Amino acid sequence: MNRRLFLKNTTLVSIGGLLLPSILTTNCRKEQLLEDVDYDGKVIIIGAGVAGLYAAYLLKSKGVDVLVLEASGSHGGRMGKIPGFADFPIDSGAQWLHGRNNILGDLIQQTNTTVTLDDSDLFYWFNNQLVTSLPQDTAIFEGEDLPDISFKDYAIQKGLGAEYQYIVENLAGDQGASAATLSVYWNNKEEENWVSGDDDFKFKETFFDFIDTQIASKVTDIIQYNTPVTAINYAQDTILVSDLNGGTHQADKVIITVPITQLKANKIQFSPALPAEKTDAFSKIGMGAGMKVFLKFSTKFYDENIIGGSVCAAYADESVGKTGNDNILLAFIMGVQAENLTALGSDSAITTALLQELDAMYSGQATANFIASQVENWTTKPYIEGAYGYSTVGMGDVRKTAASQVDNKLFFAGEAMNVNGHHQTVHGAVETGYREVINLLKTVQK
Amino acid sequence: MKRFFLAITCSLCFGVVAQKVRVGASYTYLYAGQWDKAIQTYNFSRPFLTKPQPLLIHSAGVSGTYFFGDDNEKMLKHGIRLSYNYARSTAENTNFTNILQLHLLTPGYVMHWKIGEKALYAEASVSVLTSGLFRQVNSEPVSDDDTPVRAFGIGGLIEAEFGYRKLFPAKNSIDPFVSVGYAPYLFSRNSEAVLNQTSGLTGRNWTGLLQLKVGVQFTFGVL
Repeated sequence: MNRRLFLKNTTLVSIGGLLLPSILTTNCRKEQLLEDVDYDGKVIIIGAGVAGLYAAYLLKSKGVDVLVLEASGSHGGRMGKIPGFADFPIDSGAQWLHGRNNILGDLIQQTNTTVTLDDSDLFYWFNNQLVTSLPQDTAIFEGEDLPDISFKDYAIQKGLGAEYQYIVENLAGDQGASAATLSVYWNNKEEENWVSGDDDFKFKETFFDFIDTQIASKVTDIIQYNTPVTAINYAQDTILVSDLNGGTHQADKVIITVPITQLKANKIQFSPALPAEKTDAFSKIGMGAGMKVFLKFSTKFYDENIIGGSVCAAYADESVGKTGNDNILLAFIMGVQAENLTALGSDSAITTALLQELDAMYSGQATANFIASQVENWTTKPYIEGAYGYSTVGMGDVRKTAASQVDNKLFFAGEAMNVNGHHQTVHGAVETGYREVINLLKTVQK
Repeated sequence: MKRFFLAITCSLCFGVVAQKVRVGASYTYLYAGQWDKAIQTYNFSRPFLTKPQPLLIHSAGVSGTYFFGDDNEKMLKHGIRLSYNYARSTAENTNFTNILQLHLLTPGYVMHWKIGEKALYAEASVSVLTSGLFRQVNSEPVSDDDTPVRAFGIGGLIEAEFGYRKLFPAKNSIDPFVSVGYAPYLFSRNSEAVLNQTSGLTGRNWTGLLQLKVGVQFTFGVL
């Protein structure tokens, strides 16, 4: 081979090699996912919880005409803030970011928001005394070959006696459920998809402030408050959304983000009726009672976490991760315990019941040091009526059905509609918000 | 027993010297549809990031090949190859630099044909494609409870390569080449967790991985 031939061959091979990537770039990768959104239809989002807010934020950022109809007078859904109760900010609703390997973790990084790892110590109220460890391992609800029975029944089956009843109730309460209704199998199966990380983080301010500042503030101008939606008629191309005030709103697509309790209770009438398999799926997703009670004391006589109370299975020192001097203990009450306390009928009765339990644990110091309480009962809040979605016994793989779109017109988001194991979480709700925006835009992609 | 191992080692070393050894460096264009979807979902869902995450397209790699036999007149030779490729995707946003790193390790079997009397050659290879996918945020590996978030995958790679030899000097050669490869490729469920912090959103856990490669190799000994 002479020099000329060598140069010729080198040039040909090199040009060919270098051109291939650009040829593929222009031909194979043209369809960047919804990069150029060109949709001139109208989208209505029902509910200004986190899923609705994020969907609105995303659609608005893509130039889509969007309106959010919120039943209550404020946004945030199951997130909120209690001003003035303590000398540090308090979340009335969701307050922990569960793991940082998620979209909100990215937003925290990008906005340089301060969060603190919550690794506070655990104490158990066990056999009428506070202990730092339990005689038997309670980590029996994860693993292979788990049965589709309740946490309560499985605990008994595994030999956890009556003395573990409220320890197990706490484990179920973490999932927003009672031990008698939470499925060991389905809860574990859905948790297997969890990829967000196991650490829990608290915000220096509040989680609500973070969402409010970073997401809600960008869409408040397109939220119509105090507009409870009562009916959706999607029989024609144009969807008619009716509200309790007598108003009717027209849209081409609707994203429904209301809590699963509202769908289960048929608070919104659909015309035509939703497919039976979908309403059946709604009915199988659990959402139990939930309540947060903040107790203010003159001294900090309590431990950081107290697990296993019969009135409240989980108390937590609210000041962890916060800057302030007030002594605030959070009673985090879920499932049957929240139902029991709600049945007492008044905030003062709820507070008294909690103080009595704490007095038993700490030799009367609770009542002696008590200053004030604030009860946030999510079960009795209109348009919410519960804590968060959990996996019921016999539920099956119904979340996908519940979350599926109807007629390319109705789309369903919200934490209970998260099919990736991130239900019950704020970041899980956000995921469903952008998932349904993607699904919606795919139906109109040119 | 010691003598036996010594004899084996000596004969292997002798064999390697007698065989043709080739080392190379290359640029590879990668195309994996499911990874694209995952990264595009990431970009679409995060309007707060001003700089989107680039797709995992460009990679650089090195390879080493051993050809068996020392008969230079043979038109067909065969050997074994080990390739390593590295791809990186960096998005630098305010306070937030997100880096995806993909490592590909590919051991395989190679058949080499001389094409006519000219210095051109063709090669076909079948390999096992293994990969590791990692994510860093602000130069720190993303971890879950002190365990780095990472994902692995495996596939079978079929590759065709064309190139030519230029003797350099007389008993060695420089071989510019292009190649195309395809691998049906299975990746672990948490690949999406690395790419876009979720799971199951972009569908299946396998993808077709297309590789287009251009590079140059140096062969010790004439093939």
